[in-house]
Amino acid sequence: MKNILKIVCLFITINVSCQVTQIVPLHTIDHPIGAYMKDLDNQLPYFVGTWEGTANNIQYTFEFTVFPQVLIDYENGMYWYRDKLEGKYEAVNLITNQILFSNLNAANYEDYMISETGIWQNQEFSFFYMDEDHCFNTAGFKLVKNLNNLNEVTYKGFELKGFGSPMGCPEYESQDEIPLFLPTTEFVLTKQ
Amino acid sequence: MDAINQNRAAKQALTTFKKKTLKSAQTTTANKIVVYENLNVLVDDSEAKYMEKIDGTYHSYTFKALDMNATDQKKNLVLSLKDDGSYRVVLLNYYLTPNDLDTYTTTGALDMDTKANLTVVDSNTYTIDVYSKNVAPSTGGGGPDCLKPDITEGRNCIPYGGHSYGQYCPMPPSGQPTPDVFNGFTLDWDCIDTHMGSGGGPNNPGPSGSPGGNPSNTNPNGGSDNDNDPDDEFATASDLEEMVWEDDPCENLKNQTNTADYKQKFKDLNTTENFNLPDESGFYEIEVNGQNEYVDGVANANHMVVIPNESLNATHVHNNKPSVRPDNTAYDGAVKIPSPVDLSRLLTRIHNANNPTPQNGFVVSVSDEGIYAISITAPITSSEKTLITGKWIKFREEYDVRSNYIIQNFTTPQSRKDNLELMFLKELKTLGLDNKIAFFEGEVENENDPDISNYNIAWTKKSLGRGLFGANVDETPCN
Repeated sequence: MKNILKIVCLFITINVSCQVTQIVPLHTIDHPIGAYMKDLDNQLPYFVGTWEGTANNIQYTFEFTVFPQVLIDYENGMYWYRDKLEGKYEAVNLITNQILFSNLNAANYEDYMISETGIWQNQEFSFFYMDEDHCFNTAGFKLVKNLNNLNEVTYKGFELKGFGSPMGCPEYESQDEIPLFLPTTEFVLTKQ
Repeated sequence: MDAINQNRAAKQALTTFKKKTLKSAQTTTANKIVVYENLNVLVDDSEAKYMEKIDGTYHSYTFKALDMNATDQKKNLVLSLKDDGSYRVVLLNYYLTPNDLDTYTTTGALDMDTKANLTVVDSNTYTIDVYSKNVAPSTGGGGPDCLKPDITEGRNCIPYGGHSYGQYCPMPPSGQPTPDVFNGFTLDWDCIDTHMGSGGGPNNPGPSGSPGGNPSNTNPNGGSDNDNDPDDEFATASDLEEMVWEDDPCENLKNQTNTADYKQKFKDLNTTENFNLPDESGFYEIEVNGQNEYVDGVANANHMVVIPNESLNATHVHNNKPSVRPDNTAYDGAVKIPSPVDLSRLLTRIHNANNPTPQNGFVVSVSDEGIYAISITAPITSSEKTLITGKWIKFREEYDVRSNYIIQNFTTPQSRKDNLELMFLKELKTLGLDNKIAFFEGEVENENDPDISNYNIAWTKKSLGRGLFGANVDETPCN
């Protein structure tokens, strides 16, 4: 799949050099081609690092990283850049000590499964989860800053957001069947 | 391309090749990148290199191509003139490393023995034969050179002519030197016929046993001109343009949503009570015991209506989602335009269930902010679906980022709706589906008329305004 993306870029880059045409705030929706949606208010670095918490006897570890000026491009010449806050996570059953899921060894941008997709009042951050290997299974959740203790955020608002792609997904009839280990209940994560 | 458009045989070869190998071709006026199913190549058919022998007895057209499975491998699609005036379609594969190209551009030496082969798409059956034998001897091997490197020569130091790229320019030139650019290869099949014993004439099979040409094609001026041939579609100059179904998407949608059965189901669904339920509600059309029926859907554990594989179309509610911002102000957190899941269901389950007429499929979503429908308007090949899937992560994330922003920052229903519609159309464009998916908004007429025959959904087709990233939504009522 990544090969296809590269092909698309090859066709584009014959005639188009992907230059920044304008710097705009991070979540601008009306912008020119080539815009750089930049974290002008420096809101993303707050989350960078490791956060841990426990819910339903499962220990969750989240690690967030900022990838600056990520190119988002398409074969029809449309492209822009965005600063991206990306996350990975691990879930460990504290009773059995079994690792239920972990992608903490992810190092490249493409390997992160969690992306920041919205910030409200510099307090509530929305995240989007996608599992490409399981029929593009998707979910969302929010992390809300505790303004009285900035070493804590509240995990809340988990919701499934569907699955599938234009290639179909014969393995699963319904999203309930797809393995997913993100927490589904509200709990507190603490900065490590 | 003008030359090809004027050459009926070449044009027919390319058009027929597209139809046989793609079953459809994805081209647009702005960007003629064509995806060839089965061959795993992308071809830029907006421009062709024309090569002709001095005596005029042979010529070919060469297009740039790329291997979908090996991004660093360029290819060429070649239309090679046959003895009978029609064209052989050849894919030229070459495996050149950056070092090979450097060596060639600096020394002219290139070992073609191990670097190239031909893939011939048979002109009758359109099956593929790979000519694994060498098509040109090594440079300096003393044999024929049937592959012609296509080089755009660099510019020398203009005021002191004679300098090549990389050479020292003794004075600041008025024009800076530029490097030679390697574009690929052109193919001389006539040379291959002669020197490699590959055959390929009308009665002379090629080395892999593929018949060379169509013996019945005797038009000396170039190709079949049988107007009764359904594959012969060169009556107009636009044959190589985008392939679309003739069906009017407006009419398709109107016809299917204008039956009494559909309208009654829709009317029952389109209620405030349903919008406020925790689970989605909806229905789909499916064949049951040889008869098409509308069946009520059941929501799964994550509150979404399950659309079964065999569904011909689907209509469902996008529920309200009462939410609270950090400052305790309330807002509706639902995105009430067609969702990525709606789009993927249309492109997979509903598309497949409607084959061979996927244009009859549709997905309708109903909410307190509008009635929307999406349908397919042009063939979408599996290769194209692969390409779209390659962009799916970006699409899903961008959809989430932008819809999040809109529902939180545009506080009136109309402003949310306007911005979400525009966003959806832009996202279709990023997927390359702007000319393949039709987007409609519906408005109920005679809502309170007890006679269902007077109840009507009036559809308006919505599309992105002009410009690469147009800022307007164009509306065309489906009269």
